[in-house]
Amino acid sequence: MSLNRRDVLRLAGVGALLTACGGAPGAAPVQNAVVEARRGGTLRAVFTGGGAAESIDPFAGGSPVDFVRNDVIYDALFALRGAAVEPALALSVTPGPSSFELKLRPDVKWHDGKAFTAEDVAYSLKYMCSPDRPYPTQLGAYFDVAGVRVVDPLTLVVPTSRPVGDPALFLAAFPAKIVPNGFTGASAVGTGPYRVTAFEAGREARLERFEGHWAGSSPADSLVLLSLSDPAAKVNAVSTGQADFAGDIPFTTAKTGVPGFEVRTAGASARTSFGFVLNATKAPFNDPRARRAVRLGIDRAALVNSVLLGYGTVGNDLLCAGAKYFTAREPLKRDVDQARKLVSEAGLSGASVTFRSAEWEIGYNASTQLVAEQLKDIGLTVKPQIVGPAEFFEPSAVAAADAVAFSSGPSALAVIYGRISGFPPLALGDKEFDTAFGRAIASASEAERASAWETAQNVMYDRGNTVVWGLADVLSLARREVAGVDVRDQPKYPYLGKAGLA
Amino acid sequence: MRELLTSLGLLVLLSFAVFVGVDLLPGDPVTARLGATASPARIAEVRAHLGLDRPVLERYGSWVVGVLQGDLGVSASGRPVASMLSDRVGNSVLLSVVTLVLLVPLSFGLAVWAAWQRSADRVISGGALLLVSVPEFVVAGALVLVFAVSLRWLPAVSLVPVGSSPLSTPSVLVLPVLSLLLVGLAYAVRVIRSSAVGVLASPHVEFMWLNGASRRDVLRQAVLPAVLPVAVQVWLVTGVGFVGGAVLVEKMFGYPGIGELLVSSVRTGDLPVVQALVLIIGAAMLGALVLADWAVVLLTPRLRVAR
Repeated sequence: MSLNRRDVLRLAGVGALLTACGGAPGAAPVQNAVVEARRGGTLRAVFTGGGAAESIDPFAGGSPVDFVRNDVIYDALFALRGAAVEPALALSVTPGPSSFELKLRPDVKWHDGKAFTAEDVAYSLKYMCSPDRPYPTQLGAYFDVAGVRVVDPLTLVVPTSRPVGDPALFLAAFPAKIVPNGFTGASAVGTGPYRVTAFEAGREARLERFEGHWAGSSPADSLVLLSLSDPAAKVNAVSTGQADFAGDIPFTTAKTGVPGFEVRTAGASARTSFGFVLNATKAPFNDPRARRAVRLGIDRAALVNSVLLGYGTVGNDLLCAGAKYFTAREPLKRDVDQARKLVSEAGLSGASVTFRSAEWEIGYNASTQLVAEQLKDIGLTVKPQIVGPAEFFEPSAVAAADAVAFSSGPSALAVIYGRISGFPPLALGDKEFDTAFGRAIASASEAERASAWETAQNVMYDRGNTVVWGLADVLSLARREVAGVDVRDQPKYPYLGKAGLA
Repeated sequence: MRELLTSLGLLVLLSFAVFVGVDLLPGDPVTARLGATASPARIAEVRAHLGLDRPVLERYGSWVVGVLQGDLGVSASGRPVASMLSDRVGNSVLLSVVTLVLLVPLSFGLAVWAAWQRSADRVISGGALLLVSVPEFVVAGALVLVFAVSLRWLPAVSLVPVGSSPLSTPSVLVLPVLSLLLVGLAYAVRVIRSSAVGVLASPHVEFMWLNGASRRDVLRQAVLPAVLPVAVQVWLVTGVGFVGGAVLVEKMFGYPGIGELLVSSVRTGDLPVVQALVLIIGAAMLGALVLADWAVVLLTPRLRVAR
């Protein structure tokens, strides 16, 4: 029996103490590389589950394992690969002023052998936007799905309720998996690289390779996707040989390391932005000086070191780092004197503000508490309002708070800024930003969109209400043989369509 | 019969307290699901779709009618609550029953032994005190560390294949059962031991010794009749506690029971699931208490005669 101190600390989740205790930290995470997997074998991967609420309906489940599973069962019309949009079930889109035309990929088959047609897409668009879905897509805010017109089996026209300049990006960035005509969610028939052979919510999904996939068949014969809610259990499943890969593991595990296994990072362009959205609709943060004071008053490096245990880097107050149109800017350096001056000029010395947080994501509460301590130095009293995840987004409470903890992956700017702008207490309410945002959504010109997003981010950087203090690494634990795990647009939910064992 | 009617009345009261109480809990399944950036119109639309815009008493009435027909409502995830619970209730009951089957002889044997022998008492009571003071998750974590991570004898996580019962892979039950057993055992041993110590120090037992009764006679005629009613109550209440109270253990081992479901449902504000689970656990506890009362009467001749 070999029981060492590292085992004990890892299990106790106090790996961060290792360094302080004089022990050597785990090796630095290795960069995830998409090495080609050999054909054959079974890959067993474990992700955070949603218990009995998990679903094989792509618009009914909201946990990480739901996203990973449904990503290999169903395909979308377009897919994001990093910042690039690639055709998937659709080959092209022709945007117009009030509609766009989609040309679909020919010779695509559903798992039951039927042919994929425009009727399926028309049905899917209505299905995914319906309020009957537990997790409907937000595309309904842009597309008039009731007016979709099928031109021929591989062509359809989708009217828009407002100008949309780059429909392909919208179809790739928003949840928009395509389901067969008449789909009810009772059984999973998709066009994706794997089909379901067994599924039980909160336990596992067994998937087998679909040889007829339009993008070529996948390397692994089968995938077993396991669902666990406890982060330590995910790590234990891999370290004791019950699984080959665990997604989104705690930073403490990386600190202590797991001998014989690789801790992998999704990379610098696929990090999660952590921060706060300040309520700019009321005092004190309706004053740009107060917002800037907060940005100058926080100690970003200290937050990254203590909340992320150093796994990440400081943020520059802009969301969507790594996404298309995101433009890098230098993070503000802490300047307590300047921040104090701004607080004083805004008449806020000694003022009390409420920062609302919940452990929606690990690190929210710790960062809120730490920011409260840091902002004392600039004369602001922050009252952390820590609540349970179920009540975190209560609209009246969010509206009453002065700031809300927030995070996002490298999602498309249209998705994240669209969401924030659509919710009054989180919206900036700045005319220049709103105009640029509208132009970025509506323009059919790539150059104009890039310019509009540049302007929108300039406004956000200069006087915006987002405070992004850090960009967190997304870590996974894998056997060394695991290959082909593809981090696309959402590093916490990697694409396993090309994954297997090397 | 009177106890049964009282229990039914209590169950009705419990159902009302559960429904209204859970409804009053902070949190909202709609906003928890839609996130911070859902528009008020969208929230209102989904709330109406789920029927959450109706008054609480009206919803309670519909819920009771549904429960009486075996319909526990629809989860915020859109799935019928009954189908979400069907397998998980069975798995939790299995975990509880297996633990209880081990708990009954072990707790009784250890408690009586401790009461009988001073040298054994030091070890058993000391161990029980230590285990009672240690949180469940520490016990479970230590077991994982020793038996799964280091010795590799048992699985660290209770992964049960789709469509199978945990009984098809019994090894997945061992560590969760051991975790629950050690914690339950500590409590049961302490309670039963104090009862047994009291009996052994009583004048009645002293009289038996003076009359030359054997140890076996003392155990059979004095200790067992006096301690069993207490022990049965402890076992029943502990057993039901295992069903709903194994939250941390189920989460740590990924065991597919109702404890884990309760945690995830509270987290997401899935009120219909929380209401159903609390009702089931509450009803089971009520049932266990009624059974315990009956058992005490059956095992205590004095009370039987008094009736």
